[in-house]
Amino acid sequence: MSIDIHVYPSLLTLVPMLFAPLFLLFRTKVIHKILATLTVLLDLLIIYKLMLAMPIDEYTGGWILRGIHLRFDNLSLIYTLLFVTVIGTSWISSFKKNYPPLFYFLTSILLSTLNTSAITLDLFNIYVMLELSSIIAYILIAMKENWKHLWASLKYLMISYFAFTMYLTAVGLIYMHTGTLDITRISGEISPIIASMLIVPLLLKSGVFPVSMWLPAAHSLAPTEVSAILSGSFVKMGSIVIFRLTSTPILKHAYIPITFIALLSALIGVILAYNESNVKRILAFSTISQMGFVLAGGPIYGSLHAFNHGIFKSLLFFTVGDQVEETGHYDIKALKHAKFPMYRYIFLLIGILGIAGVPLFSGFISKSIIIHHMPLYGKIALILASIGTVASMAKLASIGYRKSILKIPSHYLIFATITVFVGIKYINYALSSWALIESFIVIAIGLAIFLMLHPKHIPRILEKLDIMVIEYMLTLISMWAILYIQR
Amino acid sequence: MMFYIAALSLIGIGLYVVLTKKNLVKVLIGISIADSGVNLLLISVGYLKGGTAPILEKGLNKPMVDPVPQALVLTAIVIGVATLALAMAVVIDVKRHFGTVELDKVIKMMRGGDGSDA
Repeated sequence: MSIDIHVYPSLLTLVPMLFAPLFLLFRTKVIHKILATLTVLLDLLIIYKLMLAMPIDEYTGGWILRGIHLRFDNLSLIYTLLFVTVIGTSWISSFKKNYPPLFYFLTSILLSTLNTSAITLDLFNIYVMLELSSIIAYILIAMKENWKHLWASLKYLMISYFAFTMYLTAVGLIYMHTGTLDITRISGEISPIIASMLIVPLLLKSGVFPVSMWLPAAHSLAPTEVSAILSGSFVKMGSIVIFRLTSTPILKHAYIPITFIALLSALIGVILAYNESNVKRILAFSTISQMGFVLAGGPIYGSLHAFNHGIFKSLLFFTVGDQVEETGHYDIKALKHAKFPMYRYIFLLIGILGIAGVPLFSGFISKSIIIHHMPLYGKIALILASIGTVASMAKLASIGYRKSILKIPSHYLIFATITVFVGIKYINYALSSWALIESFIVIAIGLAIFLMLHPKHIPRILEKLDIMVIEYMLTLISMWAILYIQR
Repeated sequence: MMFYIAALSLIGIGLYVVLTKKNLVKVLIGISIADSGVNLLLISVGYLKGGTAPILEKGLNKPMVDPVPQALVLTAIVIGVATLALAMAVVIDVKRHFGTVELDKVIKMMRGGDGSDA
């Protein structure tokens, strides 16, 4: 028996959005579990149905060429699958803890906005999704009601409110020049200043180095599930919009400055991660570095790495976050006394092997494909960043384990299975003797650095609010300058 | 043309305030001014001298203003208000905790705490 239902891309927005208020109406845990399961299953069903008929174009309200243009294609498929996996699994984990109904309401709406950002082609619609998801993120970060969280949240709020105002200006100017908001139908020439005002806020959202210094505080202070959602799915939103914009002929040239910023971010991210002693901040800085890999990879390979990174970074944030919540220590020295329980350490290792790019794990595939397709300077920068990743992740592995009863938490298992499954199933795409040798050399040098080089404390001057505004303006100006020279 | 000058100068004032002021409330006011400037800019994109409201009715022979920017600005205003309200709520909490909303003093006090974040 087959059920024949007609699906539209807009259902990906509507379903989680309609389920969200139900989480606030019914406040018992059993109903929350049922609602969460229904949301995830319906979302997966819609993605599956859409996948069979890919690519689908939809204009909302049936207004051909006038309504909001939505499109479901390969890029949307990868991203929507990632979003629903990360948020669904975080829900599984959150049922074991005491989260207020507000958490489920907000994350359900967040799922809706993330899905929308993966299918929309309308510049203004993207603005609404950027703002809405950020508002949700501010509340999620500050949910613990501690002044530190409040401050992290406020810093992020100020800088991104400022940035998105600029994005809106650019959207208005583009509408003035071209008379359309549809990415695929923008024609003519976009001046360098407008292009950089459009792209730099998206870079801020996607967590790359000079503009995203809000990220370490926000991601490391948030509760475990929220950290996983932020690092696994939320920061990916900017990258998909950048991929959409730069695959149009009119903004294609903007990819060169974006690649430079991405490579810089990949390098600086691991340097900061290696010299950090707070375990959750190590993971946050490594996100900055890995988002550099994603953006340097471009739409095809970068989206693969975005998926893989979302999965293993969520696994890492879950294992480390649970440990931090259990022991109350953030510092790596204090954690070395407490040590990981055995079962958690195994899952931590799977995540580390994934992010370090060891063969048979998912990170190996996307990383080596991205490195293979870069020009020489990009290859050198990304290999150096991979070495740094191995060194900083070896710090986490050095915490060690103690014997304990064997448990297999289902949320760890889901992420670990995907990491290994992708790594084994698609290994043919990346497997070559060169890639194997390269990955082993990277791991060897990374471990050598970890053993020989002692981390130094780096002051957190780049994360001050007023410095962040200056960093933002500098990135904007340098982006504008590069685009201007290119023209 | 006058609208564009007004909008751009509002954005400029907002930018100046954000870059120079250290008081959190003043910074928020600055962003809000820039926000209004952007809204004015968007509205003036669709403005037509002597145009009527974009509503279809019988016997309409005057040109209409562009309805799209108006729809956009309506949404942008709502988002701006929501963000501003949330930011103000957080600033009130900062004031309660630190007794000040000056950026420099807050950062200095945070250093005095356990020194981890600023």
